[in-house]
Amino acid sequence: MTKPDLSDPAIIERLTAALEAAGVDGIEITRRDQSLLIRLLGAANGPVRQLRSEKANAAGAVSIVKAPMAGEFWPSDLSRTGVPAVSAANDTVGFLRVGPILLPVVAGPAKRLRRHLVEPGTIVGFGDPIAEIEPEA
Amino acid sequence: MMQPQQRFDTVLIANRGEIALRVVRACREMGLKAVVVCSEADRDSAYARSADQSICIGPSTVSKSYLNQNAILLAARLTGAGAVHPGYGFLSENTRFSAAVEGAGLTFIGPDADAIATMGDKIAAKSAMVAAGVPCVPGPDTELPSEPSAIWAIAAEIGYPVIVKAAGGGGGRGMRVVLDEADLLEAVSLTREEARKAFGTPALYMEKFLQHPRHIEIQVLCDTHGNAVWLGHRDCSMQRRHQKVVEEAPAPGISDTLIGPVGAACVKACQQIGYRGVGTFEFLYEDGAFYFIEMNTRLQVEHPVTEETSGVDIVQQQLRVAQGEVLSMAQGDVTCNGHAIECRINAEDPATFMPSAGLITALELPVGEGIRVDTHVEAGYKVSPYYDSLIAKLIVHGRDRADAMQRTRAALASFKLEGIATNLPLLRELFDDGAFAKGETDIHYLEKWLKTRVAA
Repeated sequence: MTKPDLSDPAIIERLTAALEAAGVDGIEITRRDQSLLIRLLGAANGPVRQLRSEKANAAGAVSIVKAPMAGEFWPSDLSRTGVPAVSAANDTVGFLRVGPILLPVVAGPAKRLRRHLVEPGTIVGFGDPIAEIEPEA
Repeated sequence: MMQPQQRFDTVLIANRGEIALRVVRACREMGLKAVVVCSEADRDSAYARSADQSICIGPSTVSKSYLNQNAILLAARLTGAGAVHPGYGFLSENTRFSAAVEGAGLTFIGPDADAIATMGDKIAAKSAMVAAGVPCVPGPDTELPSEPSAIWAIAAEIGYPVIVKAAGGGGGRGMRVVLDEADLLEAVSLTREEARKAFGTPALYMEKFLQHPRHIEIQVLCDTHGNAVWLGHRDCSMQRRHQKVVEEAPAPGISDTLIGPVGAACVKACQQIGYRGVGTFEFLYEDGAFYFIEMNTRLQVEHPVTEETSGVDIVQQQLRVAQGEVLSMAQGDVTCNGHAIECRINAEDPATFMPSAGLITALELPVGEGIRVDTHVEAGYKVSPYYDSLIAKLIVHGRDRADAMQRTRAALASFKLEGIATNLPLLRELFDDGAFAKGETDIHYLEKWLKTRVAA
């Protein structure tokens, strides 16, 4: 059986729609090479979908995190005032926003953010480099 | 359902290559912003960067980029586009995409989902055309029954040879020619099974098989206020494996008196089904009679030959109609002048027709009066193996067919493209062929000519 690409916007949209239809507030899928977390949250402007996906990085030197979909890049979650932009291990290196969809992009296990490669508010495309990460000391 | 039209200032182009660039040009000339979506294979192309904004939406595989409806709609939302132009191919005749675009509050630059669905179903389309008085190929406009006796009776009434076709088919797939009664039931059974697998419906229909037809098209343009015109006719008979190689306008040897009523019937059909945007009625033409085969509910690859003869910018008209404007011309305003020819320049081996990917190391396009080249490639462009092999269209306009043929020969001779194989040598040879130069060759001519050429 073919493994679905969890960073594919179509897959994310389909899963989100299924969750909404079933009245479920979230799902987390983890496998060796990819993981995906979708959380449906209430918000003042209607339901907000908070999504997270990650791709495991091979251990080693500095590596690049690429955008898993097109979106507007923000270093922090705009819906949570005061959340720090810089991540801890396995934490977010930034967010991609498209309308109500917010997709956290994570550094991966035992990695940390070295520097961002795009300015806040930049529209990035699929596969565009958005951050450099490095192994935790 | 007729969608209320809304103004927009940004158009997202859900396509690639020369047609993406063509739409960018029309947007620019109308003061609209153009956003091009692209795959990873196209992200560094100069044509993508020539738009006001380009955005990569997925990997090179078409299913994850140019056919990925969700990614395209997200890109439209991200870039603030108010309309989506589907170009040709990909999602241009996809009912779900048309509906999804309008469901997202955007304008789909093309007909609504209902019109695409009606014309995509060959039986429904034929029925609609019969109702409007458009001439059709002899045969019932209903689904073929399953009882053998009824199938035999229909074939006998039409007269052999007949052709059995899948209702959901197209592009030369899902059809079988039957020469006599003995082979009929087996052909129906095989085609039905193919149709079920390939098109999701086993529905078939049967028609008279024409043996030496030409492929003639009528271009229509309709607004959302009930106005429609036809912009003349084209001959696209020069085909190999149902793929057009050379197109021309007008179709040689067909008088205005003969085709006029057919064009008028096409306009009437559009008005009856509430069609909007551009469309093409395709006909087989044999022994002085036209037989409707299908309608393409989108911009055609060969639209430039009609633009050159009619003087109408078809892509700009698409955009104006999508904005809700009233057609600026009545049928009496449409006049076609001279003769235009389009050659499709493909990245393929001219002998084996195998696709040829790689780096274009040198490119010199022909220039001169009446010469137009629609292309997205340049020297240094890397032709991707992921997509269609069409890399350029050479369009030549002359005062008459002989003049256009002569100018095309000269343009082909000066067209220089190095680094990859193309069909330019084949086209040069074809334009020296006597029968083609004379005109009015049928849809089988090129295949026969190629066989003769191989044997020689």
